[in-house]
Amino acid sequence: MSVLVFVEDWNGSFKKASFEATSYAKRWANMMNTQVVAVTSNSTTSSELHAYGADHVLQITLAKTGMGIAEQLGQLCNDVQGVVIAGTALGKTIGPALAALNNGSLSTNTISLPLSINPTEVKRGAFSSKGIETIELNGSLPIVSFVPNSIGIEEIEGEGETNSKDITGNDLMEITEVNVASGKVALPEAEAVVSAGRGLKGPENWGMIEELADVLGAATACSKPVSDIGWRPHSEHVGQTGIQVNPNLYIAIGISGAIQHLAGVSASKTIVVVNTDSEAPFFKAADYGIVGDAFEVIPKLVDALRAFKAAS
Amino acid sequence: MSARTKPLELVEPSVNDGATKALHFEKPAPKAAVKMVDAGNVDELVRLLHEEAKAI
Repeated sequence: MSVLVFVEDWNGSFKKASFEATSYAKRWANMMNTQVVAVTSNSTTSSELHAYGADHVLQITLAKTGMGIAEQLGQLCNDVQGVVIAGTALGKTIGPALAALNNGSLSTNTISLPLSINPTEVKRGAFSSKGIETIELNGSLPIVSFVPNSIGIEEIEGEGETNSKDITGNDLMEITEVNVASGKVALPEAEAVVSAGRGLKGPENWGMIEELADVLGAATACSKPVSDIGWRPHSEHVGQTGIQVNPNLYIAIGISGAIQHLAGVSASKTIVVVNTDSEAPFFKAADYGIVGDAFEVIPKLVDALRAFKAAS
Repeated sequence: MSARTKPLELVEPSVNDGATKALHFEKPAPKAAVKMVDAGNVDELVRLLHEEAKAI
């Protein structure tokens, strides 16, 4: 018996969310006094996973689509007590398919470790993160898809073994083209996000936003109107109908804070708002606020952060 | 018009066997009031983000 965790990698490196998934699986497995089996296609750095709790690493050649991967994972679930999947774009396609194929019960948008194990209970974000639902997983295979950055990572002095296995999955679709987002930091799993809205007055003014993001090691994002009018790519749109983010730090610049935008960012741990309008609704959701002109405040903030980084 | 002539297929609803069960809902813990920082004093914001929020 074991807890199975799907470990996603990108260009040969594991995503941070994958370490978080492995760490989640380890803590769940400890509650059940069982072991963690990490499934990955990465054959070069799989030993890294032992430091996050993987007792066994199973290398397989992954199918190309979430449906195909779900079919592969399903074949490994005979003696599995639970499955952990990070709520990335790929993870969100695997979870439902795996639940459907294996009579599983799936908790999406999960924001807690299991509260109990028999039956499995977890907390999940509901109503666009305006509420928290406690849910019981009654299916024969409990599957947890968690929000990246919501659980945290625990490193351990672990070791284990790595094996490979030949399992096939049936891709029902063919991927004909892949467009990679241009941002330096992947937005859905970023620890810090610098986001801007129409208050910036035009796409030519995004240089200071990218500069601030560079200093913080943050991803850049934008409001829906900004992506709709083409100032920034749709891949940067955060909000209820865009990407929902959960970073440690979210800086909103020139964004009024419409409820649809807040729905996608309200789970951020710390929110900073810079806006010329002191009545902007975003200030009610913020931890720190500055009423001021972004064109004056942001360059000063970049300088102050550079000085802070140099001194620390 | 083709919609009117298209045969209507009646499908029996499938039974939801209750793979998940909602136990209860709660509201997230309320946030503290926003702390306003003077636009001319961004060093104070950096200090708060480092020392208080531990975000940087």
